[in-house]
Amino acid sequence: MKTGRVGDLEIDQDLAFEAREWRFEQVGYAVVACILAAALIGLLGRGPASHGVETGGGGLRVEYERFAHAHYPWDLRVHVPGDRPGLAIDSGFLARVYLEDVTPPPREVVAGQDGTEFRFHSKRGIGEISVSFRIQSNELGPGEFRVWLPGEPPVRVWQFVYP
Amino acid sequence: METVIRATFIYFIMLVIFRLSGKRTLSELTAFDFILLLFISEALQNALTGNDPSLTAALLVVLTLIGLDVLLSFIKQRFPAIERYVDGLPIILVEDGRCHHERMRRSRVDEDDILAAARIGQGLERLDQIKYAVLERSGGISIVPKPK
Repeated sequence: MKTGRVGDLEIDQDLAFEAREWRFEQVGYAVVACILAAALIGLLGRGPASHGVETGGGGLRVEYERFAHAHYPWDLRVHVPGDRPGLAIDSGFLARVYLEDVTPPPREVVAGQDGTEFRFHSKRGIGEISVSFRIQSNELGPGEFRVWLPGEPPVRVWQFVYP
Repeated sequence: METVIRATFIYFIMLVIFRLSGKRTLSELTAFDFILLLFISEALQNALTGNDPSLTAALLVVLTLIGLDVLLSFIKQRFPAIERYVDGLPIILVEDGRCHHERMRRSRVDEDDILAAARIGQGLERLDQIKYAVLERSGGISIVPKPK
């Protein structure tokens, strides 16, 4: 490609190209600002917009992260009535993630076709049991799973996993 | 396969990000710019290998990045139009002692930067001794002095 000339200087200058490049930079800065703003409010994970709470039948309450990062743990907190210390989670979902830890440890885990049941010890008279599942999601993109108390309709949880 | 895809994706994302940040970002580094590059390399480390500490993964990342660099240089050579989008173009900031202030503002270069380049490169003292000051693709400023 033939090099241009400005006065005595042979130079491949193109002011129209530079103007386009500067516009690209300005658009890029706006995109970066939007991404950072989205991150601050939690749309990219771990923030106010990411924290979700769903309630279900029988006094079930599920706290989760709407936006998770692949290969990085997040907490699924399930609150169940003290007189019904058991819950079920989609078996398909559990097969797709890495379950790092369950706190408190369940006294029994029963695998079913539809859901895996976790049963816990509880003291008589306790109002509510909070169970924390430390999960690493490995499959990218949108997904849905269910949590329910045995015999009750499920809570559906939607989540997006970023790479 | 995942390692190669990660490295490729990160290579092109970083290419876009650094093009977006303008030529000056890649020029002579201040201490802070140097620290920033160290932070960036640390931030990308896990993303490149995907928590795989094996020798295989490390070699794959290196080979992928070098391979992409070589491929891009072939493409730029074959298609010069692509080269200007990947590397940018030089732009004259000072012509015959007079500053193109709008170009300098857009390029985030001020007179002090030009005078510093003139002193370092040519031992010049004033702007009026400069025939051309060019902001190069690399982000550096080259100076052509006026004949004495």
